[in-house]
Amino acid sequence: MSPLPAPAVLQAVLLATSAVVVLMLIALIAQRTLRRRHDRRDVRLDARLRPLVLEATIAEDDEIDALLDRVRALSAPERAHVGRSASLMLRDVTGEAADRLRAVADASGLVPRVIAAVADRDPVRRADAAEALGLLAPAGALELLQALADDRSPEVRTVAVRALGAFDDPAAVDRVIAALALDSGIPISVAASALVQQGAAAGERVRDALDHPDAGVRRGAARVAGLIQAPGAGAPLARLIDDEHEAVGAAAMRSLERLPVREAVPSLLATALAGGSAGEAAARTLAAMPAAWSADALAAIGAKGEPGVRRAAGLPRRTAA
Amino acid sequence: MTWLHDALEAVFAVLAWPSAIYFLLSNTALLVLILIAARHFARYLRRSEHRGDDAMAASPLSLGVSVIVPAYNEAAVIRTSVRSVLDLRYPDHEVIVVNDGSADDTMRVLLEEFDLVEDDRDIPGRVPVRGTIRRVWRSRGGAVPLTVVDKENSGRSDSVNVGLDLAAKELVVMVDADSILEPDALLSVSKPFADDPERVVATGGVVRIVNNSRVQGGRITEIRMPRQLIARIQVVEYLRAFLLGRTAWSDLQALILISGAFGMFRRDVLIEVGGLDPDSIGEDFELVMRIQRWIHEGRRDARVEFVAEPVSWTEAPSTLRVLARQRRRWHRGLWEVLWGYRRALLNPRYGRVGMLALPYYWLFELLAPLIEVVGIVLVVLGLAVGAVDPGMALLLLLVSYGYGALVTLAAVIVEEASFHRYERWRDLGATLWAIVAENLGYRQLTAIWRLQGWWAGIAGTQQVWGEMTRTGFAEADASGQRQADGRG
Repeated sequence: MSPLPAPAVLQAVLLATSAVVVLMLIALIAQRTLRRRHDRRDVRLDARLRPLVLEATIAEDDEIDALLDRVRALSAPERAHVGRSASLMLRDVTGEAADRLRAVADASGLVPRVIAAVADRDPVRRADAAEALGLLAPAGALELLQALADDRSPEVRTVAVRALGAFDDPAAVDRVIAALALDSGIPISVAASALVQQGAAAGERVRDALDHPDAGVRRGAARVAGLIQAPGAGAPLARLIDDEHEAVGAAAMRSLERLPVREAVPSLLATALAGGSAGEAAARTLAAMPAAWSADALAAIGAKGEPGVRRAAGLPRRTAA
Repeated sequence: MTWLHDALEAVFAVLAWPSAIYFLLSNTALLVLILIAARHFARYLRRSEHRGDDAMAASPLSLGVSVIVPAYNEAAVIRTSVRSVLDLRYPDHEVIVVNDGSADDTMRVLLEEFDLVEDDRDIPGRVPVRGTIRRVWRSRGGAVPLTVVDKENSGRSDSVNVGLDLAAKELVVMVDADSILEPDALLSVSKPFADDPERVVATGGVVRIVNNSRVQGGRITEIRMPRQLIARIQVVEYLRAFLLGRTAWSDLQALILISGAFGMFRRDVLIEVGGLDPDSIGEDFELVMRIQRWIHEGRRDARVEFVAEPVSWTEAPSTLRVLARQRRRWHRGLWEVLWGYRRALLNPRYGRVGMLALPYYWLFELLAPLIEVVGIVLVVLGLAVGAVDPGMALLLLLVSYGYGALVTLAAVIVEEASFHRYERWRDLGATLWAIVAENLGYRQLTAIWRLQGWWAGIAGTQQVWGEMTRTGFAEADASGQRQADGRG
C-alpha cells in the first residue's frame, strides 16, 4: 500500500472541498439576506397593520363593522399578516378584547384556513390548527377539537386537549379528563392544566374522577381538585393519600394544602413519620392546615420525624437535651 | 541522520493511511452529528406555534424548581445574579445561594440586599457534604423564595450538594453565579420534564459566550461577537460541539455530558445517586455518567435530554493563560471520567451510550490531541530530514483543515437557519474569520494543553484552580476580563 494518497487525488479532494466551501458560503449569505428581507417586510407590514388590529380590539360596537370591512379589503398577504397578529395577541388577551380579536381574525380569512388544516396530512399542520381553534373558537371548534383529541398523532392529541381547556362545555371537560389516563399519550401536565383552565365548570366531574379506576385519571384529578376548589373533594382526597400509586397520594397531598379536611390528618401523620419525599410532602400539607387540626401531628413530627420532614413542616431544629 | 530518515519513512508507511482514515472519520462523525442536530432543529422550530410555552409559564401545575447558585468570591456579581434568577419567568421556583466560604463581601452583600433572617430549621442530611455549614438564612417572612447558606470553603461540587440537601422542589438546577440566564431558561429546560415526567431525569441547556455582548441588570440586551479572536474562536467551538454536538447526542438518546453552567435534574434522582462528586475534576460529566449508569445498570426507562434553546450565557477565557488552564482541566476531567467508567465502553447493557457515545468520546475527543500533536511532530521532523515532501505535506494540511472548516461552516449554516443569534453582518464576518483562524495555531495549542491535562490526570498531579477576578456584568458590556475557568 502506498504510504500516502497520490498528489493528484489530494488535489482533487482539495478542489472539491474548496468548491463545497464556496457554495456553502454563498448559501449562508443568501440565507441571511433572504431572512433579513423577510424580517424587514414583516416589520413594514406590522407598522402599517398593527394599529388597525389594535383599533379593532378597543373599538365601540358601532365602529367595529367598518374596521372589519377594512380588514376584508386588504390584500391577501396583508390579511394573512393581520390574522397572524390577531392570533398572537389572543394568547395574552381575554374578555371583550379577545372577542374583537377573534372577529378580526375571522375577517382576515384565517378561520376557513384553520378549519381546512384540520384535515391536513401533516400532523404539525393539524397541531397548529388545533392550537388556532382553541384561540379563535369559531363555530364548530369544540367538535373539531374533540375529533383532534382522538387524532392518530400524540402531538396533535396533546395540542387539542390543551386547546379544549378554553371550553367549559361538559363534553370538553369529559374529554380532558379522559386524556389524563395513563395510556393516553398526553402529558398529564397538559391535561391537568386544561382542567384548571376550565375551572369551576370541571369541579363536579373532577371530584367524580377521584374514584376513577385509572391511576392517571385519579392522579390528575387529585392534583387539580385543590386548585379549582372542587366541591366535596376533601374526603376523597384524604382517602387518596394512601392510594396504591405513590404519585396519586403525592398529588392528593398537594391539593389538600388548598382544600384541607381534618379527616386527612391521621394519614398525613403516618405518611410524614414514614419519611422520604412523601413524608416531606405530608409534613408540608400538615403545616398548611389550621393549627387546631394539625398541632398534635406536628408535635409528633417534631419528636419523631426525620430532619427533612421536620424541615418541611417548618419546625425549628431539635436541640440536644 | 539517515537512520532517522529511514525510521520516519517506516513510520509514515505504517501510519499514513490510519491517520488519514482517523481524520476523515473524526470530521465526518462531527458532520453527521451536525446533520442530525439540523434535522432536530427543523422539527423543533416547526412546532413553535403550538409548543405551549405560554401555557406552561402560566400553569400552577408546573413542577417546582430549586435553583442552586454556588458562590465563591462573587461580591461583584452576586446581587445582580440572584435578582436575575429570582426574576426568571417560572410559576414556582426558589433560589438557594451557597456561599462557599468567600473571602470577599459576598455574604455581606446578600445579607444587606435581601433582608435575610436566620433559618433555624433542620438540615435534612440526605446528601453527604464536607464543608461545615455556619448558618442558614432565608428571606424575612418568606417574602422572596430565597435561602442563603453560609459555609466553610469546600469547593463548588460540595456547595451544590449542600444546596441539593436543602432543596424543596421537585427539580433542581445548578447555575454558576456569573452565568447570565435567559428569562425563559427554566421554562425551556423544564419542558421535557413536564412532557414526560416519568422518564426524563435530567436536561441540559445551551450555554453561549457572552463576551462583549451588552448586559444590563443581569439580562443580555444586545448579542455581539466577542472582540478578542481567542473568544471568537470559542464561540465557533461552542456552536459546533456544545449546541450541535449535544443536540445530536440527545436526539440519539446517548447524551453523556450536560454543562455544569446550566443543568436541570430530578431532585429525587440526584439524591439517590449521591449528588456531585467533590473529588472529580469533570464533576458535571461524572454526574451525568453516574446517572446513565443508574439508568442502564438498573434497567430503568429513563433518559437525559438536551434543550437546544439558548438558556445560559457565560464568559469565555480571553487570555491564553486562562484558556490553557481551562482546557487542561477539561481534558483531565474527560480522561478521569472515561477511565472511571471504562466498563461502560462497548457494553451493550449501556445501549447507545456504551456502544456509540463513549467510543466516540474515547476515539475523537480523548485521543484527538495525542494524534494531532504526534502528527505535527512527525511531519515537522520528516520535513527537517527530508522524509516528507513539503508540497505533499502542505497539500495534506490544506485538505485536512479544509474539510474541518467545511464541517464548522455547516454548523454555522445550521445556526443561521435556526437561532441566528448573531444578527450583524460584521459578526458573520468575524465568525468566518474565526473558522480560518482556529487552524492557525489555536487548535494546535489547545491540543498541547489537552495533552498536558491528560498527562496530569494519568500522573495524578493535584489540580490547581487558579485565582478568579471578576468585574461584574451589570450596566456594562461583558468585557471578558474574567480570569477563570469557563465551563462548557
